Amino acid sequence: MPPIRPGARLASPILFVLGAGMVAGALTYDVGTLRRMGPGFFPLVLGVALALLSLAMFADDRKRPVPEAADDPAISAHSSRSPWRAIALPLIAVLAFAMLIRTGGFVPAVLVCTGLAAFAHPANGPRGIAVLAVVLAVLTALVFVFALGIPVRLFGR
Amino acid sequence: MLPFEDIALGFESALSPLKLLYCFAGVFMGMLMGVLPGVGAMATISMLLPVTFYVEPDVGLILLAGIYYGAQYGGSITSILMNLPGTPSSAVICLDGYPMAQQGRAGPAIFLTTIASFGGSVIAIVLLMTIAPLAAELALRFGAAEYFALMVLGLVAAASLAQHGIARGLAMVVVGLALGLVGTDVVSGTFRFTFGALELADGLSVIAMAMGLFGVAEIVANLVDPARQPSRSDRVRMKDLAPGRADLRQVPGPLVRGGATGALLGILPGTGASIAAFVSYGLEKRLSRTPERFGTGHVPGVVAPEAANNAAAQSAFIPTLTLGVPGDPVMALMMSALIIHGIQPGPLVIQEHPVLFWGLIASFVIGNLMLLVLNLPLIGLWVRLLRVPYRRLYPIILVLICIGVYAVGNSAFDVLQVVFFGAVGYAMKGLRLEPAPLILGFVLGPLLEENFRRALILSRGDLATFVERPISAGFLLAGGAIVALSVVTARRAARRAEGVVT
Repeated sequence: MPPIRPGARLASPILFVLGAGMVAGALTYDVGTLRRMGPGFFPLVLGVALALLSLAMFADDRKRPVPEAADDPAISAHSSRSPWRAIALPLIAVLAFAMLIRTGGFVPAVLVCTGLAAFAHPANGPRGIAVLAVVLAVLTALVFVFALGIPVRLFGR
Repeated sequence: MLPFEDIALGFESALSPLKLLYCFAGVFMGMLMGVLPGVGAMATISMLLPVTFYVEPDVGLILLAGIYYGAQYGGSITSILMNLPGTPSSAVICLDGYPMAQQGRAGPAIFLTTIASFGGSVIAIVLLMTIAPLAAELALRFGAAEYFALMVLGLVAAASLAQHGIARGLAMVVVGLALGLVGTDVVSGTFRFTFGALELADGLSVIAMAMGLFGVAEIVANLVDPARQPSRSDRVRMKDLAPGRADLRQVPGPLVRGGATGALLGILPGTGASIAAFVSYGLEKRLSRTPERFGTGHVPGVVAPEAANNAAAQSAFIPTLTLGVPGDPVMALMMSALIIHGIQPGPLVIQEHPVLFWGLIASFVIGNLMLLVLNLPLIGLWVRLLRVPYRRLYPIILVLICIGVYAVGNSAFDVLQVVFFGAVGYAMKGLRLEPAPLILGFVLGPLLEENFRRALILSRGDLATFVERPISAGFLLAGGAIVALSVVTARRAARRAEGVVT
């Protein structure tokens, strides 16, 4: 299976690019002088520091590579099926909550979020997911909306 | 000398029925969440942060603090019963706690960790009562240069704990500092790194960041690799609950040493409860006449680290409240809770809000007593809770994260940030980069920049100000020593590893 997640060796190049990008970004603001620092000064220092640290990491990695994460989908013996469902669904569930909480209301947001998240686990069947979602929606509505009074609509915007 | 009048004032305040109720709710929730693997004090605090908006700040703080140290009690229960740390700081408890459970001595093990937790906390509370006022007085003489140097020390200490070398840790600190830049520059009013998004003018949300990097990333990693998922606990034989006399005789020494180690390490910003537990386990093993018994269910191996992580959890409040410098991500959340309530943590807190400060400390005493009494009758409940299968548990955790983050700021944009940081956090697991130093950097970033700029304005642009002032020079020297030490030990470890191979 092709690696779906960057491995340990890619950390230093990614951080170097990030550092260089910060330097470029910092230079678009007023840098100023040590005596009168502008808004660009501190970001510039941080960008340079990050680039230097990424070089140190690169040197470290060449001397003694950091072991890859044991749970990496490319090397773990346990994940033979496609990992995309496990990676994408929890994130989409949170995204759906963010989209629905203002437009659809609290209850739909919780129902959809629970449903999408639970579907990421192959052992969860549709009936189990539905029961879990309804129970969770009722309980969280009771606790957060009625008892604690967070300002949201149960249904609708 | 203990300031008895202030302590009495604290108890008078903390013993009001409302505060007792919140203290109880805090320690109970904290313990509950500490028992559940993967939901730490951080998730619980951000879920309950909105609750505190409806009460007085001192009541809210008692609740949040109760969650924090309650979670320390709960985390070790999971370590003992399932060989899986409920909170990161109780990872060490697995080493001797789980073997005890396998021998059918889970009851005594939990009993002993409860005593150790209580003892360690008491040691740290006494230290807190004596040292905090002194630290605050000292801090009043701190200028911008000293604050800057202290924060550098804390960040370096946090970076040195990173698993794959200090360069990776320091890089994460810098990324955290950089994320802290996003938003409006307080001095000039310039929008920095907002990429045209008005929602980013106030900066990123620390809670969304913490929930994404720790909570969501952990869930994703567990789903991708089912081997990581906490398995259901085997039938635990409780048999006798109470430890025997031989067990109890081994308690006092490790308890006092572990408590003292933890209390001291907790004061330093950047070194939290986890490192305290590891250090005291190592210390105990080195001092022991029977080091070979560690790892086989040896009582001191449970007592010392448990006393240490609880002590550190209490004394971590010293830098947070008296200097306004949080020592770990949880303390950072606690500090933002205080700021939301209009209380600026710093040297003046003890003088300006004595009831809040001493009431909080008195609530530590009361809360720890509650935990001591609560822990034992509830063991059966914890065991049953751990039988909830992970496939049912994780959607619940995810929904609670969403609600918690949304409710803190009534902002759907904050929930979107959780998606972003969840994805980043999962990628970081592959890159072998750790989130803890990043979050500490993010929290301290704005403070660090402000003090850096102020110090250089005062010194008219002369960088020497940081080394000419003795306290500041001392902090920076200590930070440099930590870097040098971790580079040297890493080299030595590498050489030893090579020696084994060849």
